[in-house]
Amino acid sequence: MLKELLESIFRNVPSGVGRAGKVKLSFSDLDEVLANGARWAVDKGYGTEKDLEHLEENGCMKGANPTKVSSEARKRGAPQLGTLGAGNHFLEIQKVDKIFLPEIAKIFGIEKEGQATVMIHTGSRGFGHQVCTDYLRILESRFRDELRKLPDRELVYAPSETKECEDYFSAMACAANYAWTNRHMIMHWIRESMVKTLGMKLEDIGLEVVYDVAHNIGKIEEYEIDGKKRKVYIHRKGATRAFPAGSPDIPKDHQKVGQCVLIPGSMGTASYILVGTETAKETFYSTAHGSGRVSSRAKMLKGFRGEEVARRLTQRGILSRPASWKVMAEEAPEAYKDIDEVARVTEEAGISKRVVRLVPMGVVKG
Amino acid sequence: MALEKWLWKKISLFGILSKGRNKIKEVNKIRLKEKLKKIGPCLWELPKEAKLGMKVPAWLFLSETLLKEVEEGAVEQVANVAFLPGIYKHSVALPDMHFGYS
Repeated sequence: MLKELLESIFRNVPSGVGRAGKVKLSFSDLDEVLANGARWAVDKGYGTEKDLEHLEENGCMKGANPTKVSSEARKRGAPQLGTLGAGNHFLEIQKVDKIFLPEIAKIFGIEKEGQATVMIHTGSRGFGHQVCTDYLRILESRFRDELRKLPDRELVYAPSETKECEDYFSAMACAANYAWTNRHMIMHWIRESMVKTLGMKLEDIGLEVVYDVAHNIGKIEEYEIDGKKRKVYIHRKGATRAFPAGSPDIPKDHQKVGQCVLIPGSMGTASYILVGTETAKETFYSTAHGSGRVSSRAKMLKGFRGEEVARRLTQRGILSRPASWKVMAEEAPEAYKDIDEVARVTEEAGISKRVVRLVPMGVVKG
Repeated sequence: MALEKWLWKKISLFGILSKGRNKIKEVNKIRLKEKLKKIGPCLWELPKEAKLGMKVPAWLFLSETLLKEVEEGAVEQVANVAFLPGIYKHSVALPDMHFGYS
């Protein structure tokens, strides 16, 4: 059954490098996606109104302005909406392996060990990449003096309150909205595949959204700085927002316990659900986002073969459906740090608490 | 013959020089990771004096085990973020920190 389900999802959700999606978008459709985020998806029949409550920013960041996005970005973005992509992006059918905090888990919708979950790890695809490339180029030529004082070209920035800063922020918000929409569509197709393969009604399967949170994003948030409340830019690059209990920016039903944090592991390893804490103030309410690479892609390709990696996963009872053997080799579990240690340290450091450990049963890999 | 000798000298001199330069690079690299101070159970501080130009210290949330795996280049990246004007309090690296941007 799992094999059929995985096969059905693989056919229903386009994956792989640069693969085009099954939804044909005009540029004006795309602009609606960029401005309205996951709301657009719900209006078009993907997912429901209720899902939006469990998306960071309800799936739409304010201030998104499609006119600040280049036509190159549009050209890359329009055909790719509703695709998984490649690299470390994946889609997993998992089961609950361990519950650390049962009461909080219950609030997040995790009732018991052995319960099945689905995790989607993907983002803004070529669109977000192009927005980044475009603005790096703009900033590099506009802020040469500022760049000269920096030790790394990639750190080029736009001073706050400049036109370039506002423009970039509006374009980045478009990319965030694209990503929420992308994941929402993929989730909808997974639900479709489940209903079809299991021959059950969606209400009986469940499959409600636990949470959707970004881990490469810039946000304007308010913090007390030197005794004064100030709005600041928080840069979360490879970092997940982890707001504590009582935060007005998290779903109402989570406010008692804190924000739900998702840490996807690498292919074939565990993933974690955590909860935000007040002590994460030191990291401006940010926590880890994954297991972190230890071996480069090139190194992995030398030492591993994709077929072998898939075979070893099967031996451990994990089915895989890769779009490419090369990516399988690059993303072998050996390429990453130990996710259990990362999650343990995250808790010991006080920047979020472990709620649930999930292990994969089936993987769709781009 | 003379030309050959002269060339050989140049080549070996270049060898010594580049070896020396690599050594300096190596020493500098070791230093940054060695400058980390443990300030909490899973927290290390790279003081702002560690690299000329840092405006604030860098905070790294790691266990001893995770620190062992951290590349010198990754520590350098957190230090570099601390150069950004307007940065408040400290730059932060989380337990899954690694070298590079992806």
